Amino acid sequence: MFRPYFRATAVWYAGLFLTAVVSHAQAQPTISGVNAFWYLGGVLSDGPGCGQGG
Amino acid sequence: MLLYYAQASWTANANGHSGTPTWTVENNPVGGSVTLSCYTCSTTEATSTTASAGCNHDVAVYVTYPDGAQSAPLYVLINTPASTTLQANYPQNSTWISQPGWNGYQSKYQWYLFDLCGNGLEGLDINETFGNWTIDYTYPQQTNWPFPKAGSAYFAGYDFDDFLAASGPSNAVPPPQNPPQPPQPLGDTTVYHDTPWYYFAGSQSFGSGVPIRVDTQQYYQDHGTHSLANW
Repeated sequence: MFRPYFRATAVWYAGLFLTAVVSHAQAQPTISGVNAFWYLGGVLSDGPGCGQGG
Repeated sequence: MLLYYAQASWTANANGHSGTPTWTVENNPVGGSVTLSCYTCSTTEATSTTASAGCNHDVAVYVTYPDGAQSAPLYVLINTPASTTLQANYPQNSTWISQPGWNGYQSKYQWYLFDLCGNGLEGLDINETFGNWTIDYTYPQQTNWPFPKAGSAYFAGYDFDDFLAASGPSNAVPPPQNPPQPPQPLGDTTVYHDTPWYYFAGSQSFGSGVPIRVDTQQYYQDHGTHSLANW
């Protein structure tokens, strides 16, 4: 008698699973503004001169 | 006209990073330094507190975002008036008679000012302080010349000057004299001198600003001198 023959099969896919990685290649932060300005002094500890009117 | 900003506004550009950045400043311990109006903010105002050591961008500034992303440093030069050069044909000695019958002189010095990078400066407030006075003329009696008064002014151009001047009556001790006409030599009778004499740029308030010259002022009977031509 014919007996159906069932064969369990298992098929493995051994391929590469590519993950769609959405890569946001972020740029480095920057600073905008001038790179040179001035220093015009503070006050010396010995204070103003001692000139007298004349 | 040249403008001398002592502050600068800096803005962080996130370039995709989120959050509020933190500012870091690496000052030069022996050179330039700044302080910031805020340190965790997108835009900050930098104020100079000292000048750079020479013509060097010696202050490094960068921002760091919460995700750790850091900017490249912004290297900053804090420029300042730094040196003076006496102009040709100075000092000039001329007669100054402030009242009829008096005699006297004015000795004029005129300098160019230069920044840390050797560029000429124009348009700056100037003031002077005299330091301590020493009387030279004491015999046969001590001088009765009054001490001069320190000056301050805004100089619009490239020429920055100073006058040493004296004018007085014949009974002054000693009586001021008009400068001798060349080739007659200048006299060597000293009256008084002051040191350290400072010349400040950047302010008209006495003692404020950047010291750009320091030397000794010597008042003679017929002229006056600064001890150093350049500084």
